[in-house]
Amino acid sequence: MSLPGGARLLPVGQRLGELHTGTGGQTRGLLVHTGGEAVLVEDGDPADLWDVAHGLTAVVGHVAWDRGQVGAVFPDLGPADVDRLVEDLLARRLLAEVDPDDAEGFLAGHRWYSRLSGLGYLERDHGWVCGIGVPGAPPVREVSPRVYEFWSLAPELGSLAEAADFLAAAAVDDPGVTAAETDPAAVRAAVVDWLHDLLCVGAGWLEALP
Amino acid sequence: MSSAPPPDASWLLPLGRSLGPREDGVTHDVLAGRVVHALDPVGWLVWSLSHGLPGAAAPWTVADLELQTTAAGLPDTPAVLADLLDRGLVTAVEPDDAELLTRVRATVQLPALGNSAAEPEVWTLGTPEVPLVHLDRVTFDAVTSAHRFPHLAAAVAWAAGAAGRAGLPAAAGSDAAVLAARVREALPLLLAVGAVHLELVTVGASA
Repeated sequence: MSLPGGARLLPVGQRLGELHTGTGGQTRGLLVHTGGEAVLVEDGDPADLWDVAHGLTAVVGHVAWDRGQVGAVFPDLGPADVDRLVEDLLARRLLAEVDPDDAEGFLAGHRWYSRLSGLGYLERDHGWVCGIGVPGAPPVREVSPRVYEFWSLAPELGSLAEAADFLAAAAVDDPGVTAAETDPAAVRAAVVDWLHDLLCVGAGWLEALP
Repeated sequence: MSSAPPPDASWLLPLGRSLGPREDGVTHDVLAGRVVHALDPVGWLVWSLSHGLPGAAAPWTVADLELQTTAAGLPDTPAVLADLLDRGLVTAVEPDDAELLTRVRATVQLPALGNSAAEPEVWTLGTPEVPLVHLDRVTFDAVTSAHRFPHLAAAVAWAAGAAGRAGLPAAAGSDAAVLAARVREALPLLLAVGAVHLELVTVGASA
């Protein structure tokens, strides 16, 4: 079942880090690779909003990370300011706004790359989870085995849609599998909600396909 | 059939990336391409040690691995290494293999941190708390973009071309041969700290 909320706001592009110019210079912004080139997301509200679009770790598993949630992180900005920033980043292909009920174009037009390391299965009171992080340190994120499977395999597949279909087909022989885990349409819908679970800790990034 | 053991001076390159332990806590999975390989604890340790040790600046050789596995008391390293070679989880190349960068595809695993006001010429991979790898800008570009290319040599050619169009001199990395040498030089550390993982190039891949 999809998380409650509106269209998901998703960051697009590979974060290359902060760009500083000149010794002692101020930060100029974030470098992000998208659309075949490294672009500068200007320091201040644009860079902050692109960062916040990745999601807040404590929240993203519970509600859809939509324009309203993102705007709420910027109490000093009015809705019109948030809309202006969002529209600018959408136009620059640095964001995608995705209606989970109409996500086919997004899923076919984007692919996933994973960052950080897989730390494997961990037993918790509520069952098994999988850790993602840096070897030798506690996981930065614990995700469900299905999300971990996506994180592991999606970089090997050509689009988010292909990844969802591959996972649905691969789940058929899994013990205790549910119908939703083998139905490609259901897995495609689930992928939209899995993305922020991973993006919020920098466990990967989205790239738009040419 | 097991492969012939590689010479002691061969450069060992790990392939794939760890998915950590399964529920049994004993079996470890390594993903290479779309195939998940289950390794027992000894196999996983030898595969992990095939990445080298942080601080190593030279190619990590079979002899280096055997020294570490002997020190760790791991049994029968040659047989375990032969199994990893057969399963495509490790490859061994001549340290001066001129075609090496055409044989492997790389994907960056550590966050890219950009540069800093204090050292604007130094570009870093790591975590904000622990920056681990420091590179010049053009090498950083080749490494962080490598996943978009069929092999590392193509990423190097792209980064060198971009540097040339930006007016950087050959010594700064706009010459692909200069940049390729830098990337090769950086590989031992990049692998040892888990900054990148490698895959073997599939037949038919081209620049």
